[in-house]
Amino acid sequence: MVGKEPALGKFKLWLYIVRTKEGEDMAKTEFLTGNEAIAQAVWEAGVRVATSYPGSPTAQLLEALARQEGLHCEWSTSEKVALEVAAGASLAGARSVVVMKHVGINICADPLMTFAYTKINGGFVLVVGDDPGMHSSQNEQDSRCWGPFGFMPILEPSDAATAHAMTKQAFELSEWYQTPVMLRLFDKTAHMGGQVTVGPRQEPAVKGFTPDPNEYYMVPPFSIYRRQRLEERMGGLAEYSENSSLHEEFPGTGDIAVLAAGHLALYTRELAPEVPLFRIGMVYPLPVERIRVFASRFRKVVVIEELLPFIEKDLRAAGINNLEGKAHFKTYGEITPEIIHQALLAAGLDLDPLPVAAQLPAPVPRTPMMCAGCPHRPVIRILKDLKITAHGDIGCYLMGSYQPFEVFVSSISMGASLGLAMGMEKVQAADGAHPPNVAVIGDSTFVHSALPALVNASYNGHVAKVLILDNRATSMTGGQENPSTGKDVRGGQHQSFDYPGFCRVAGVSDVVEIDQFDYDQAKKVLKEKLEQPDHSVVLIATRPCALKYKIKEPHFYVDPDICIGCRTCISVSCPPISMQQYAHKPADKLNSFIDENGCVGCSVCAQVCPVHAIKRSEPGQQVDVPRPVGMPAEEGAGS
Amino acid sequence: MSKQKNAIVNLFFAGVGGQGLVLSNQIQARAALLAGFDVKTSDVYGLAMRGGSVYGFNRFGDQVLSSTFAAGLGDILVALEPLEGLRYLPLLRAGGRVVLNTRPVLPSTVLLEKQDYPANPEQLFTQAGLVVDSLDAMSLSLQAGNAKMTNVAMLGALSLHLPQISVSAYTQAIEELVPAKLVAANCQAFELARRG
Repeated sequence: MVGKEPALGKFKLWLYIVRTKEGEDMAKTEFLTGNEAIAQAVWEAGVRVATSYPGSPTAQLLEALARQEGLHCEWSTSEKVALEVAAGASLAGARSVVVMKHVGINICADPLMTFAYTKINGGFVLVVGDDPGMHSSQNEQDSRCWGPFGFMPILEPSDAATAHAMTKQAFELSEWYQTPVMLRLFDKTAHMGGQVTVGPRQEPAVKGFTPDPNEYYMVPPFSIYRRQRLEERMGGLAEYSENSSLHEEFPGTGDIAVLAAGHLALYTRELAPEVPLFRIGMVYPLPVERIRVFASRFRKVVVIEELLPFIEKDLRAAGINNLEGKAHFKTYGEITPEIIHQALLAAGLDLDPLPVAAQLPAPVPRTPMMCAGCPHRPVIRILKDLKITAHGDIGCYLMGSYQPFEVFVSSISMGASLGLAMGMEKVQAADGAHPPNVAVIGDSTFVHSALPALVNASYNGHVAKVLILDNRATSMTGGQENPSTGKDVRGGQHQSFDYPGFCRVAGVSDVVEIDQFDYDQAKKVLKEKLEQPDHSVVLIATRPCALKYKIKEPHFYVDPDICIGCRTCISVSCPPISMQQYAHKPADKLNSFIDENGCVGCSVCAQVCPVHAIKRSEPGQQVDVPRPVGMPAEEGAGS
Repeated sequence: MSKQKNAIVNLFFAGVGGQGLVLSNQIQARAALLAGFDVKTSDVYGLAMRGGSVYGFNRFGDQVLSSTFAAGLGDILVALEPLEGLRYLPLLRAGGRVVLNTRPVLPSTVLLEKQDYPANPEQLFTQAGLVVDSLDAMSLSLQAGNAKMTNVAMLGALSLHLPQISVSAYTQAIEELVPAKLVAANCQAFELARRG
């Protein structure tokens, strides 16, 4: 295959049956985000199986796809399982897609790296969302590194329209070159809305599976044979990249040009429309010879890429050296239009200056907060009270790392809290200290990555102290369903996961369910169980996510004449509770106040108040206590 | 600046996770599309949704390439919350406009009395040379039925400054994007804000 265009005969093997209902053959324009545009293209490409584990910035992709018919969609229990299910569908000869965020690839790297060795049968596309700037992630690793590592091509769309077109092209490429194809999104491209011309669904015939040890049994000697085939695959893909229309050249004037992919190419075109631009659509393998010719026409070429100097290094290795890349850009964080503008000026381009923006002293920061009624709040507050060494995991509860709680000593990756607690406990116990090391983990994260860790605890004789916050949702990414409820992505009911049963089978016999909205009782149980030495226990907090399963109880209010201004209620850090001035109270004293429009009636603040100044309102009745200075009278609450 | 840039209107929404900023951005985009413009938007999702600082770009014109724009190029800042408006004030051009919801949502450090909320946000905008339209969008939303339509009330106030997009385009966008049983109330919140 090396050096050849894909043989035309290969596409003739495909029998495209285009369903054309009346009116559907007309091109239609829709306004879609990058995620939605890819979902639409996946559906149009006739994909039969789509899998994902929710993660920002690609969490909305499978949700959009699940609104379509004609394909199996699932929230798999982890990216590893998601990849394996999609790979199985590909083996069977159907098109499949797997969607995840950048750190998800770490979870599925084991099957991915070897599945990539096999001769891909049905078109297989991995959509990954990178997060430079760490808007919603624990790190900002550069997913392009998986391309050379796993012998896979990588495409990078610029906006919703190119995301749609590239997705369809990705399935073709996957089948022509029998390769997995990675489609790389960013926070910016996944959430960028734009117009997309959508089409009908194709139904490529499912090719079926023919067993062949050379192609699919990845043990030596077969895997050695397949490894050798990868050289041909990559050679063919490099040739394809050289001639591909996925790349686009924009002419301009002057002796300095720009090389950029994705949304950064669009930023550049807007800021410097006269500057020659090479927009890279396939970032691996690069069209090196084409870029060599392009670059030779200019004194210098500015390479704009977020994170690692992936493109720049590849080009320098090929002997293209009139480049300026990371000399102007950091290897971390997001690149904004302002940063590009500044870099282009520094590189010697003569651009109009950007307007001088108004300068203000840095405004008060705003960190995310647990929602009013969040079931994590009382648990985190109890952990703080008990001065427990708590290891956090990946979920909304990690907001317990922020002020005023600051209860977690570590948080690394999905399911890591159990292992971290075990390891730390081993060292501290050997030193004679016996602080309980508690792993705090959510329902979805527990199933995703903690099951082997709990078995490990029993098997190796660790003292396991695990607190599962079972709020029946994968909340941080938008409240997706998971095995806790047993509901699938379309709402179909299947087997729900038996957390207590699993923990007992894994070897922890003491499993206790607690209602954290009964604050004192929950605190008593946590104290007793977590502080009991040499005793393994799993505690399961059972209240559901307040965002997904709304609490609609009458709101609470503060009686300022009972309130002593002790600020205990403030220390639960709930959005509607603040300290305010009351006209009839001493001017130097503040008392607390609950905004009735924000309170959902969970009662936690009332339970921690030492003087019972916080009371529940009666439905439909106006609360008859003084209001703080400058606070409008109660409006509409309870109606 | 190129001709094309001049033809583009640069809007920016700033607010707090949970205020419905993404929906207001979508409605604005849909209304501009119905009025015949090209539109690009960019939103934030994820962790910031939990009471954090959220924002969205919205650009419309004959042809729009990028979904974002550089500081100093914004025409109108829709501040669903005053502090969040201040945070993104540098995005506006000189003499740009702020459509400001006066209702603060206090961030955790202010609730915990570790930092002070800006005393007079409106004045800070004015001092920066911006034109400010203030409204208590939460009150208007409550008048229209509940507290959840602050975002749509803000669009009503914004629409006064975008005569190139008709009210019927906004109304149709609301009908398309808001659950059917809430359309009438949302249209009322929109209309109350237009009346000012």
